[in-house]
Amino acid sequence: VTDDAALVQRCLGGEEAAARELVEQFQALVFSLCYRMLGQREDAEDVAQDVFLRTFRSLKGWDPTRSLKPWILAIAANRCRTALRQRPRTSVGGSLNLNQAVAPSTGESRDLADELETAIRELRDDYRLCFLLFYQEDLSCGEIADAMSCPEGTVKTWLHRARRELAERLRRRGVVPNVEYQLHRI
Amino acid sequence: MSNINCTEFNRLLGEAVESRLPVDRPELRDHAADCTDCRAVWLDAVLLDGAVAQWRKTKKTLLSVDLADVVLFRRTAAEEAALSVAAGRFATPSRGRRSARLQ
Repeated sequence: VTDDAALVQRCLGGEEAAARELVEQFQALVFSLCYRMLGQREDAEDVAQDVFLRTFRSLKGWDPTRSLKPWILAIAANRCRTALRQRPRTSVGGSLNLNQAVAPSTGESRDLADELETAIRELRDDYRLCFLLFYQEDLSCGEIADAMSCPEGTVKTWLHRARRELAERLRRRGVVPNVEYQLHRI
Repeated sequence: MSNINCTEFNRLLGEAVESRLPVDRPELRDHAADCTDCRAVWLDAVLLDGAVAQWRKTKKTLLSVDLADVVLFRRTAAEEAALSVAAGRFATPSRGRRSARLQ
């Protein structure tokens, strides 16, 4: 029995400590995804709570041969998409204040990370979700396809388009590779 | 001189991205040195890999959030509400019968 399966069994047995453990194990991942998708802390907290309530309601249907993480993130992805569909069309970055919400960092790496964070906010919803599931949550393209209910080929296309758009936005903002590349041999 | 053509370059670049491998690989670099179009694509990929690496180090995980108490509270409340509704459903037929008798 995997750790995931043991935890789920305890949850299904009505053990409150297990339910707490499940939330504490996945809350940072779920909240981070919700926050970057929705752009507002309050909305992200509400949706993240709903994700866990749905998780508990659906636990009996979880396939114990698969990892729990992509399954919960699939619920989170669906809830985020639903929340985005239900809200008036506004920029995700509208009130996003990452200085309050992300771990502190310093120097040039912060600048580059800040530039990318800004660019990610400007991606269209599907590209942003795909990019975050791949680079933030470390899901495979196959797992993302399951989470987003689309073919794996579509995920790869979105991932490459997201990367291309992000690179273009970084270039437009004056960001260049910080390493000299000797492309032309003598 | 590069040993691969543009099609092969794009295939290898795609595979590198999807497998989370560095795009700064000799075969890709060599082709980028010889091909203007692919060089632009490759430099973008290198730029983005660097940015993603910094982003993952500094911003991947947001500061702590504590949802456990509120989730468990809402879960218990929802279960109690469901029990209450079920109890109400169970009681409904007798109320119906009583109403019928009163009429």
